[in-house]
Amino acid sequence: MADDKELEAFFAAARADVAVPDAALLDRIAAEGRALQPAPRPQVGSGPAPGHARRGGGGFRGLLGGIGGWPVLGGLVTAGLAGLWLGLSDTGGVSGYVYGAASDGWLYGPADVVALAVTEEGI
Amino acid sequence: MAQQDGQVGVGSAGEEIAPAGATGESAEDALLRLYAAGDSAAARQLTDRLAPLAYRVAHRMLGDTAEAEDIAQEAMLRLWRAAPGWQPGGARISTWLYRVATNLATDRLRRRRPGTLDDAPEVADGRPGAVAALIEADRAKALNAALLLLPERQRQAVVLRHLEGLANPEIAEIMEVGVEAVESLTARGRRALQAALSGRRAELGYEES
Repeated sequence: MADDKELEAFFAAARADVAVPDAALLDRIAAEGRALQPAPRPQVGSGPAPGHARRGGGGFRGLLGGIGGWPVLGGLVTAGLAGLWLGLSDTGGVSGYVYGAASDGWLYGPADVVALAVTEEGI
Repeated sequence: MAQQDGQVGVGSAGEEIAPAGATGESAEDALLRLYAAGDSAAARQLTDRLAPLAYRVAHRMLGDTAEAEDIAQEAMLRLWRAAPGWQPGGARISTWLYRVATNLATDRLRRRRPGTLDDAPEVADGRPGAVAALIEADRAKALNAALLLLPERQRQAVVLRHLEGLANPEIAEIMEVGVEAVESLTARGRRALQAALSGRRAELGYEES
């Protein structure tokens, strides 16, 4: 049986015989890494600067981060404004309309009535 | 491959990556943080640092280039996916990658039939002109062939201890066992290697030394 010294010589020879991946494999792996990489975001330090508030903590920033950041907040605001506009315009259903017999059957919604009243008041 | 912690790197935006230990964050942790932040150069730098580790240890455990390539790619894929949720200050990235790569290699070994000495590559013959360098190369081949005869866990422990040069506590972390279990696995692995290699002493030049 080979003794410890002999076995160490085998280990030393095997350590020196290093298998190295070829460049094509490294290229594939790096390309896959880039493909799976999160989108760039502003780089921040690894720790908070002295005197600065806790980064990414609670409050508005924490809430903002929780819902997906500024893009999602922008979408929510847009959707809210769209809903407000729809609510103020003529989506009140049939009951919200008035029939104007004197105007050849025109249908008026609540917003139109308000606009008409304002116009008449203005005149 | 020597461990590369402690080297200083530079991100694509010119940000210097602090040496390991200076901030408690290793250079690889810093690169992974840059990667998760979308740094365009970080994927390449992480690949150059870490993929050879996964490839090399898989090659040592399996003795097969194509399988080692598959494992290196799969291990790095898992790293890319883990990057956004990586917790700095936890396991070292290299330790984590050793665990992933050796576990993938072990899975493949379990699907193989047991090897025999007949599967081992032939060493160079002893014709005139065979020199010490060839003997040294043959020793490496013989050791690698003998490694393939070991049970998977012994092989994993011996590769990590004697070829990768890791300390027993780190091997215990990689293999998710206690340090005593690592010592037992490496001791049994060494004995099995000695027995397997003893029949090759003459052809490997030990008769002359």
